[in-house]
Formats: sequence, C-alpha cells, structure tokens
Amino acid sequence: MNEDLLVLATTTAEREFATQAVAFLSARYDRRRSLTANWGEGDEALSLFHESTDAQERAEANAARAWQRARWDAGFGWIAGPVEYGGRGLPASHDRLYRMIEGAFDVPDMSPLRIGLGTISPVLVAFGTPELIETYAVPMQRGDLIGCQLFSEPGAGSDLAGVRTRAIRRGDDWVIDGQKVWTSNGSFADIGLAIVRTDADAPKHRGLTLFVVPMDTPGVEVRRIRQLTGGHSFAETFLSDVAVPDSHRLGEEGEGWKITNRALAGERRSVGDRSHEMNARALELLRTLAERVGRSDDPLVRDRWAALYVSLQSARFQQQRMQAVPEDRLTGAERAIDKVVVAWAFRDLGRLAAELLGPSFAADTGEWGTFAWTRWSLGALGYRIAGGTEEIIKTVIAERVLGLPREPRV
Amino acid sequence: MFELSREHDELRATVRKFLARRSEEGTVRRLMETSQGYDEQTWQVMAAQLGLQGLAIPEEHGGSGFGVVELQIVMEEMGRALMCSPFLATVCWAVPLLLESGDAALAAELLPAVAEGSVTVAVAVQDGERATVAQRDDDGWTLDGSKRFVVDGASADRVVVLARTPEGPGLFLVDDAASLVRTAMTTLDQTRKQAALSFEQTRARPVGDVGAGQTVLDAAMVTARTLLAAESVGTCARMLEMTVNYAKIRHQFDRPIGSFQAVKHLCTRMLIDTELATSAAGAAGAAVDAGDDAAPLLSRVAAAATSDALESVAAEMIEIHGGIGFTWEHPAHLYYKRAASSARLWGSSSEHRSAIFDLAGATK
Repeated sequence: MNEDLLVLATTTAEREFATQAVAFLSARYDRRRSLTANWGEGDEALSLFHESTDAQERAEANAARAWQRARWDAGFGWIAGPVEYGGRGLPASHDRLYRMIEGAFDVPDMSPLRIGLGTISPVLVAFGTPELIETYAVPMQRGDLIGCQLFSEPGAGSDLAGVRTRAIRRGDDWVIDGQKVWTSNGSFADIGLAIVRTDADAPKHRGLTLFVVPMDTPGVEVRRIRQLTGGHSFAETFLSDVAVPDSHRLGEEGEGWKITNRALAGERRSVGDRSHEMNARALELLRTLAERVGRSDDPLVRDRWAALYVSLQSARFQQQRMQAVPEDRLTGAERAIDKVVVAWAFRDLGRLAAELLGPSFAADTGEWGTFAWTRWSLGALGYRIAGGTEEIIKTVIAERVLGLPREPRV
Repeated sequence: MFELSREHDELRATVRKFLARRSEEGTVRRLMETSQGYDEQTWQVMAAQLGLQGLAIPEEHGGSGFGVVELQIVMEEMGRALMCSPFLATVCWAVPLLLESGDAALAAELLPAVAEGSVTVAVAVQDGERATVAQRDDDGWTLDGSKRFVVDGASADRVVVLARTPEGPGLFLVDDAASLVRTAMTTLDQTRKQAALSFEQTRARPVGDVGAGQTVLDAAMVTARTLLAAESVGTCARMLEMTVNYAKIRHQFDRPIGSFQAVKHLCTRMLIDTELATSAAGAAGAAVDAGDDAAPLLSRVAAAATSDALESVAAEMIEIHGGIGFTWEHPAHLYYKRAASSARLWGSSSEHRSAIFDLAGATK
C-alpha cells in the first residue's frame, strides 16, 4: 500500500524520507478520493473561487493551522528551512517530494497558509533580520501566524510599482497611509507584508520599501470585497496613520521592488494538480450534460468538447513535463504557460456549458448541475486576471523565455 | 513519463549535427526540385553510420531495438531541418505496419534491408479513381485499381497496398514497385513527394492475414501518427525559433519589432501552441512504448494538438516576417507548406477530435 507514492523518490535518501512521510500521513489521513463526476450527487462544486462566510473562513484557517502544527512537530513543517531556526535543512527537492506525497492524502485545505508559507516566509528568511525571522517566519512555519500580501492598490494593479501608499519616518517608527486591495486572507491574517512608497522623489521602482505590518496595529481596517459572483474571496485594507517600528523594515529603503519581484516569482508558479482535476471533472459533467440535453451527436458539441479534452490533456502533460525539467534549466516563466492555458480552459468550459444549457443558463430551473454553471463562468473571468493578467504574463513569457527585447520604459 | 536521459540528449545532438550538414537549406531546395525527392547517398550514410532507419527495429531483425520515444527525437530533428527523405513512409509507417501484421517471415525478409538502408517502402491506402481489388489465382494474388496520395510512392522500392478481398480489407506487398505506372502528384509541400499508382494484374504477396488489413493498419497508424506528431513538433519549434530571431533583429520605428507587445503576444502564443504540442506528442510516444491502452486516444490527442499548432504557428511566422516572409527566397514558405500539408496528412484536426470524442467516452 502507498507504494505508488514511494516511487516518486529517486535517491536512497529521498526514499527514506518518503517512507517517513508516508508513515506520518497514512497514520492520520486516508488517501484522497478523486473528485467524482456522478450526476446529481451533492454540491455541484462549480465555484472556481473559494467563497465562504466569515465563520467558515475562520474554521478553515484554524484547521489549516492545526495541521501545520502537526507537520512541524513531525519534522515536515519546514523541510527546506534553515536548521538554526528549526527547519530541517533538506534540499528543496525533498520539499517538493513531500508536497507530492501529501497531495495524495485527504489533508485539510492549506490555502489559508499558502501566502505565508510560500511567499512571505521565504522572503523574510532571504532578506529579514534574525529578529524578524524569529518573530514572524518561524511562527508562520509553526502554524501560529497567518500572513497576507499588501501589494496591489486600486491604482496599482499590473503596474505594481505604481503604489501610492506612503510611509513617512517619525522617530523610530514609519507611519503608513493608503489603501491596499485584493488581500487574500485579509480578514483573519495576523501579519501583512506591505510594499509602500518611502521616497516620493526617487524613480518609480526605486522609492519603494517593504514592511511587516501586524494586522492588529491601530489604523488597519479590513473590509471584505463582494465579487461579481456574489461571494467573497478577498478584502480591501485601509491603512490610516499605521505606525510600524523601523525594525519591521524588510531589506534596505528603496529595495522593496527588487524583493517583491522575488516574492511574486513564487505566485506565478504553475496552477497545480487541483485545477487540472477540477477541469477534468467539469469536462466529464459536460459530457453527461450533453447526453441529457440530447446534443451528444451534434458535431459542433462533439468538436468543442474534444477540443477542450485536447487542451486539458496537453496542459496536464505540459505540467508533468515541466516538473521533470531541472530548476536550473528553467527561467521560471515556463510554468506560467500552464496558468494561461488553464484560464482559457475555464472560460471555454463555461462557454460550452452555456451552449448546452441555453435558457437554463440564464434562469434557474432548480435542476441539479445546470444553473450552478453560472458560478463557473463568472469565476472564469477572474482567472484571466488573478495572479498576473493574461496580457502581462504573455509579455513576461516573451521576454524571459523567448528573450525578446523589453518595451522601452517611461 | 518525460524523463529524457543523457543518451537522448546525445542522440538529438548527433542527428542535429548530421542534418546540419546533410539537410541545410540549399540541399532542401535542390532536392525538392528533383523527382526522386531525396539524396540516396545521405540515406545510405544515415543507415551505415547513424543507424537511424534501424533505430526502432527489433534487434532480431537487424535493428537497435529502441522505442518510439527515441524515434520521436529523430523525427523532431528531421522536422526542424525539413529533411527530404522517405523516412516517414518507410521507417515510421511501413515498419510498424510489418510488425503489427505479425507476418514473421516478411518481417525477417524486409526489416534487415530497411535497417541497412537498402530498401524503401511506401504505404498506399487511399483509392484513386478505381477501387483497388485483390484477387487470388493459382499463383497467389494480383492487384487491380489505383491509389493516390501515396507518400514517397514514386521513389519507393516496394509498396504495401490496402486492397479489397472477399475476406475484407487486406494488405499486400508489391515487390517490384518500379514496374507500376507511377505518376508524381504536384504537391503543396515540395519537400515531401506524393504519387498516384495504378495496378494492372500486378503480382503481390499478402502481408499477414488477409482480411485483417484494416485492424493492422489502424494499429500501425497509432505509431505512425505519434511519429508524425513528433516531426511536426520539430517543425513548429524551428518556425518559432526563426520568427523570434527575426523579431529580435528586424527594426522598425527605431526599435526591434519584438519589443512591440503586439508582436510579443503573437510569439508567446506560438510558444504556448508549440509547448503543448510537444507535451502531447511526448505523452503519446511514452504510451505507445509502454503498450498503454490509452495509446490510440493519446496519439489522436497528439495529432490534433500538433495539427492545430502547425497551422497557427506557420501562419504567424509568415505574418511576423512581413514582406520578406512572402517571398520565394526566404525559407519561411518551405516550412509553411510542410506545416499546411502535414496538418492534414492523416486526417484533419477536427477528424482527430471526432475520434477523440468517441475514444474518450469509451475509456470511461
């Protein structure tokens, strides 16, 4: 049993590590069952954005914290982290191996911790003082603290370097004023990593600095944003006279852009197995829907369905092929291809659903697996924007992978 | 599934180096104007020194016993270089056909000759004006009828022919292809020849069981399709490379045109199509080698993905090259024509998708 997971290890050391990981996981959780596409059963599960109420959100965050604490205690909490801070100091390949193995078990959803563990903790370790690492990175790794990014602003989206939230030095403190938006985890995060303008006279990319902002600091106000789907996945964060000590500065003054780019490199990683699984299930549901509405012999429907099958299979193979390429042979932008293709598939699956449903797409008949597709179609709009718009990503791929010259900058 | 070893890298480098000398643009242009369509000496050297024809032929038949994945590497490189040769017809199609037929005697007779480069074999499937019929007499079988769209049919030493028999479709080998009336067809892609053949009481030997022809052909097609997909991947990769290189050096408005976002986004789209096609072809190759039940489906996925990629990448290549890409002297049109021809050689992408709809439903 679980032998299928051990084959993921290639070296003796990895195999031993994988054996420990499997023992740890199998003692606590069953193997995850794949999403079923059985017609009429349970929630249609066609929401692309995770949307929940405040209470649900807190419960999910607590479950994620508890699991991270269990990982930490067993030595799987910070696999590649520095030994002097309680990490295990193993190569990054062990970390990837663990995540692949864990993905096969029915563990709690770790998305509330993803930004803290995947983005903020690594930049704290790379650029923070020992004090910042001890105070914030280590507790995040233990599951005690949850982090959020305070990056985007109403006036600074794709052009992130255009942030206008400012920090002014006052004694040992910096006083921050401004507004951030699209804050995932905003309503329950303990700390935020904020990029703000500390030098209004410096060139755009050089006047920015990063600060760690405890979210309970007076003057921090978080309001959830209602999306066009009707639900909530993000918040906006208002910062009014928020005083943060200089010891909470990450890196030097004016280094904020450089460090943020490094942090975002992680965000543009591939979308992962879960999205592929959701798409595969959606495709199965559409096949059944086509049969139920009597369109499975319609050449138009067959062609569109098969075109989706081709692009989803190819994207999945692409993801697997990129995983087999050593990191040093990638520029980092190759994996963004996956993100673009999956967003297109989300859109096209929604369009095929609408085609099959006709009027039942626009008005709810109450039948299972019909009107729920509106949630999918609306959510798909967000996926071409979130995590870097499709247009920005195409430009990044052209410059980093193909080596095309940059546009002249103003 | 996608672990390519150091040996694979070496194979790729060896083939690329060979083709850089033997299939550079001047040679391609010279050969495409000939009726033979390829250089026999190159073909011999390729067999004697590199062993490419026998790469995936079993060792018992004089080959090296490698798989489709290795042959895909060769095909990718040939697709990059627009190699003019009967490799697709002979090695990628006729050889799998002989192996799938289970005709041990014929395999033992023909495959060593293919491996050593002394025999080329074409496969003739689509009927011309007259349906091709096989009839048995006291001395064996004779063929009557006509075929067209026979890849490398005019130059092949032998031809495997699909013909009607009372037992159902059968495959037959014509040993003396030179005795046939063979007419070269004018082709869009001059770098790959096609011919029309006619049969008049032509002596032929059955390949495998008479009546199993369609089954054998379908099985061999899975391998052949997977190899054509790999060739197409190489063609796409080269078209992308040429285009990106040009976008970096061509200046307009005092800037390289590749610095304009409109051009960048077209290039990125070409990259995405090429990358997805590469992954689909690689997955199909691995499935064929593993004897996976999903191989027929994945070969269709690879065919659909590469056919669409060929068409879109080729069109944007011409577009980004601008006026120079519309001239005869620039090599872009050679690639465009190969792409437009290969994209429907064994079915269009929508025909592949129709098959995918049925196959994907059956494996549920």
